[in-house]
Amino acid sequence: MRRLVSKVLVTVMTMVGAPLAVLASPQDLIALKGRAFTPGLQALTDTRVQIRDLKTGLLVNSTTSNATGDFSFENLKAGDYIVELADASGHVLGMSAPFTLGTAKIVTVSVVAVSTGAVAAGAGAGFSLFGLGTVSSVAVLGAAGAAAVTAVVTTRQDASPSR
Amino acid sequence: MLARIARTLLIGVSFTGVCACNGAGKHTASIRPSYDKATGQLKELAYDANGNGRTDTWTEMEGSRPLRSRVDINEDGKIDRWEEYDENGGLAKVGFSRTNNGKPDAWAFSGADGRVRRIEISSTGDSSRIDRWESYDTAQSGPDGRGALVRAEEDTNHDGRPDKWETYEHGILKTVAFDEKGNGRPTRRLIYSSSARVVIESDPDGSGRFAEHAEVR
Repeated sequence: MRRLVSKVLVTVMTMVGAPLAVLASPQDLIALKGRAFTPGLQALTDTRVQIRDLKTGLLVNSTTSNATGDFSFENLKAGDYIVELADASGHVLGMSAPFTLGTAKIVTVSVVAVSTGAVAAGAGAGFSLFGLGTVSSVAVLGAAGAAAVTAVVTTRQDASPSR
Repeated sequence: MLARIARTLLIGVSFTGVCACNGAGKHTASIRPSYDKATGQLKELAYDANGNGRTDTWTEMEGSRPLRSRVDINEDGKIDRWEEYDENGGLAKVGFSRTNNGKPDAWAFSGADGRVRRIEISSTGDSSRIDRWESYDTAQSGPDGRGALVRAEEDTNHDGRPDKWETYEHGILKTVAFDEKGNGRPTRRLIYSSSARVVIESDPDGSGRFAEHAEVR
């Protein structure tokens, strides 16, 4: 009787464990989490994020960054990848450094959008200050001795940074 | 640049600090000089650039020559713009803090026309460790006055050498190449087209001769 119970238990446990063993395959358990950023390092929201196999060039999967710029991919196989940010037209706005998925079960990656256009025009793009003439610049032209007058030239904030 | 200077405000600064008005007399800005006690040499000018009564710009001086400025544009108590000047007092480069933490992590360099030609970025926030270099074509107009991004290099593994190279056309990514072997030369390249087609090429020995590997959509 005890042998019978043992056989039944082993059989049941084996059957229950079988699908778990398949799910537990190392190749299917790599998850990738990440965050997308604007050029100004603000969260890049509601933007297409795609993961590309670096060896084959094929797109493996895609998703959309959420309200905090976060994204994730599940069940990735081991291999070499890059993560790309893309606009609605499919133009790549930025990409991660290449990375290898292997033994780690959870991998994190950050991607910063580089390209201008829709992203740069969005809120918090941040780099609008790069126009050198858009904010005050001070240059002292000269001085004539310790108690003399110093001339200071100040450029004012321009409406058009391209001028 | 000349046009900007033409719209300048010439301010007289006395030994004890003075007030200055712009041409329209809209605001008064005060400048406070600091001098080296031993030599009497001018060391710093503290300046209220927007005339709201708060000092927001500090220019470090070497006598009559400006060396660098720190600017708190939004007056939140943290510097958000750093200016460095060349030997003639001209603006050589401008630093920014992308995370607004009071430390510069990106520097913009201008050409003779005053437009941005190059931006150097530190992804780690350490301005002494630049790991991305972007080049701009000033003949192409960008959205904020800088030229269009045409090329970028990046040191993604922080070993001091670029290992990722990007090229752009009309501000859109055209190619990206990676150094997969750490020898400073690209060994894999992706070419993007407007139709979302990607050609992937490899050059395993880094000889500079890429062989077409695959074309995918």
